Amino acid sequence: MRSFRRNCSGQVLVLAALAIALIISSTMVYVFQMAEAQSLGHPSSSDDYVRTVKLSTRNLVIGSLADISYGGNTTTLGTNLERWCSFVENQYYLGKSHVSFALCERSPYSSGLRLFWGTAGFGVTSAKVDFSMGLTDETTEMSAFYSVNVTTSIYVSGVHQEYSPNWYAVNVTIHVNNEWEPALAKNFTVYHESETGWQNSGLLSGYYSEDFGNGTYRASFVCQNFVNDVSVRLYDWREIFVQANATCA
Amino acid sequence: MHRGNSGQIRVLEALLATAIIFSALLLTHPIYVALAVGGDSEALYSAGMNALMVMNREGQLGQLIAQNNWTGLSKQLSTLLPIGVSYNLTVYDEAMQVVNHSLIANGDAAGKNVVAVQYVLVERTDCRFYVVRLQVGYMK
Repeated sequence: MRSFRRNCSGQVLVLAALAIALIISSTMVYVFQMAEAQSLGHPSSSDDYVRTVKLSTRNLVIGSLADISYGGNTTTLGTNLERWCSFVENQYYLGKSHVSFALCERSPYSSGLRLFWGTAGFGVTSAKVDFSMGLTDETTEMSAFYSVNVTTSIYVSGVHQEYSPNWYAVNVTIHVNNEWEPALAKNFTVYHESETGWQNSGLLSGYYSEDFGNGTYRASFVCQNFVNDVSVRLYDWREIFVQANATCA
Repeated sequence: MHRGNSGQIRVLEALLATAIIFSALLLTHPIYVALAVGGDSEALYSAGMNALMVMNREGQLGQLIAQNNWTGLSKQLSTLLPIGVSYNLTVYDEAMQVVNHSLIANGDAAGKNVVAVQYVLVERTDCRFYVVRLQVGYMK
């Protein structure tokens, strides 16, 4: 028995080495297969495509709303979205894609739009669209529902004071919001109503505007024959136009 | 004679055992490489995708394309992509015609591990659609 152990110890060593080699190989193959299985669900496929489409859809709604707020046709939004959905469906190369949209019809929206340029100091230009997206490829089947709401609004208030007969010092405060959060304006023009009609206040020699850097602006000017009303026409950084009129206190 | 050679046989057996283990390690090496390259691909893909997303967040990517500002686009990409990553970008319009007739690239990708990122975007001013194909790889 002792001599058998002595004679075979080398063969046992070789067998043990073979067993270890087998364990190493099988472990590596297992790890590789697991990693491959995980990479099949990598976000480079559908998740990223949905993120991309969401972001670009938002840009499309902003572009369409800017165009409509300049005076463009209100059907532009729907037309652009139809083109976009068809384009997006054709560009998904990993499988099948289906994208559809519904323009918001809930009050105060109509055909996905809300353009309210009021006379009580509030003006809003807004678009709201709901989207549904379905992606099917070899490994995944997913659906995504999301809503895009782009809103630019302003609040205008003003005070005036007569400091000599027929001459008034006017202060107009403007608050700008994007999606109801303070935002910066690209440019704005203040108009005041005098006895001869609406005048561009920016053309007055004493016109002065102040930017507080937090979405609040103040315009000050001195004018003649003022009849209490001011109007602010504003473009935000997304080129969306909004207007509001207010009566000065 | 038999007793005298037994030591040498033991040594040979030990060498054989070592050779078996090393050959197993050598055979599984391509799997290590494949796993490492897979990880690199994911990192490259994420870097490329994030760069395009950052550029598109405020519509700047579409604006640069609409203005044919390929130099500006290239500068932006060079800033947003990690150092040592080379890129080659091609812009297609809705009819899948190449829009950029000048090369938007920096350096030369090693060719071993190049990842392509496809991105659909909208240009805000005229609401035109584009497909951007960005190839990213490690520099040689």
